[in-house]
Amino acid sequence: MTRAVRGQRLLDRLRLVVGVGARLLIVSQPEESGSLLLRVLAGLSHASSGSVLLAGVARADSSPAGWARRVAYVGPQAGIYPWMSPREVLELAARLAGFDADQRRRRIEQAADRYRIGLQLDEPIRREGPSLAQRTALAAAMLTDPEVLLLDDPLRAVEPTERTRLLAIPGARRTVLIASPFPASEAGIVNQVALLRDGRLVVHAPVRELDARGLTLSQRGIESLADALVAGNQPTAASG
Amino acid sequence: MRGLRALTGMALRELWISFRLIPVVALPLAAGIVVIALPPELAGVSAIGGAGFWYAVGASVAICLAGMLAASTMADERRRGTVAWMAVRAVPRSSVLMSWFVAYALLLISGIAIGAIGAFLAALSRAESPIDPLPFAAAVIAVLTTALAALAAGLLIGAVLGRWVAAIASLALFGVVLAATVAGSLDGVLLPSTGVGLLADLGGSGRPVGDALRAAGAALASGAVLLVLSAALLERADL
Repeated sequence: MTRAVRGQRLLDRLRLVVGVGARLLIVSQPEESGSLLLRVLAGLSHASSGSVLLAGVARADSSPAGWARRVAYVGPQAGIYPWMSPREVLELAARLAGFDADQRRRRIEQAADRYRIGLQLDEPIRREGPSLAQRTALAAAMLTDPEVLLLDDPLRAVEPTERTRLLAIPGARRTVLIASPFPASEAGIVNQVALLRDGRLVVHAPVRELDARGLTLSQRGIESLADALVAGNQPTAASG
Repeated sequence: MRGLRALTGMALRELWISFRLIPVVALPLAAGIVVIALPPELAGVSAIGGAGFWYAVGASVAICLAGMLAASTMADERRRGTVAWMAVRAVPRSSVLMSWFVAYALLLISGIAIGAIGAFLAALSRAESPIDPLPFAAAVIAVLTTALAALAAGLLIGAVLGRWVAAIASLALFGVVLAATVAGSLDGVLLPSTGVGLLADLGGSGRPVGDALRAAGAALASGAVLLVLSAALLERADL
């Protein structure tokens, strides 16, 4: 796909294939490229050319049991009204996904437990600050048990250890794409890395490629890996 | 439209909590109260004509403000990610747009309708002979449709521009058009704002009811076109 914003090509003939169950970290220069890619995948932005096939679906549908349940997106902003309580947010998300009352109650209880929002479940989100808003946004995204989870620099307001715990998303067949400007903070969360440079895919490789070369999961480490793989003419070692 | 009722409820609650609901309802009500409280020397030559003029002025201010708020709301909803939150849950963007339109419309129409009753009662109390309520009511209905068209235009502006630019642009646009209409500069031109001009000059029309219905039709048609255009632009917008 290709997309330019204000004359700058943020996605330039990008072709990226991510296998089921991958945990892919997307690092990009400029930073907006990774974020834009996730928003295009989520159906929030449009590519000027090209196409997306996500979880076997070519484009978003309006059926509650379709796209809304299978693909989830969490952006850097929670996108939640601060006067709402986490319970209201989760209830709304569950209703929009078409769950019946029993399913809603059960899923909200599970989410409150996993994302540790049980104590603040009925408090307005504004009272507890951005950490609760971001945890609630992730809980709402996970409520439908999505096959594909798109995370655009998520949970920055959450304490790092707790963030790592929350982003260790369960599910062997769930595909997670994380766009992050701070690769080191995603250690232990991802098993693949991709580097976009000027909108083009420079490298897509397993994290173990970094380890094998003694490189760290950092901007510099990923760039060094990209240089090494490009020199060896195999920039997409993890594709497929 | 999927989720329209729930989304409209949320929009109304957001307007209440952010205090935006108050000016949208209170300004037209205040306009009605101002008409009641007008001193006799400002009440106009005829009781109904004076009440109509001053209420048209007050309603224009309320419509300007509501249109500006609608524009900044739509821009703000895009900026802070609430539209995106809905869109990724397969809620059509047009449903989000319509929920805000319905929420603002309910409030503004209620305010203008109740304020107009106050203005009419003020005219009744001042009139020395019986008043035919039909021309006044028809003109008020035309003003209500002008309000709907202004809200649709505000949402259109908010669907494409940033918050502050949208607010200033809509305020300038509605301010100029409504001021010119009330002042009579646009007489003879059928515009979505024509209803306000009719109310401001109730005695100036030979067929007040027919003209008001024509003005209402023009405003409703414009409002519908603007809403469709807003939905199309919001569909193409980056969230």
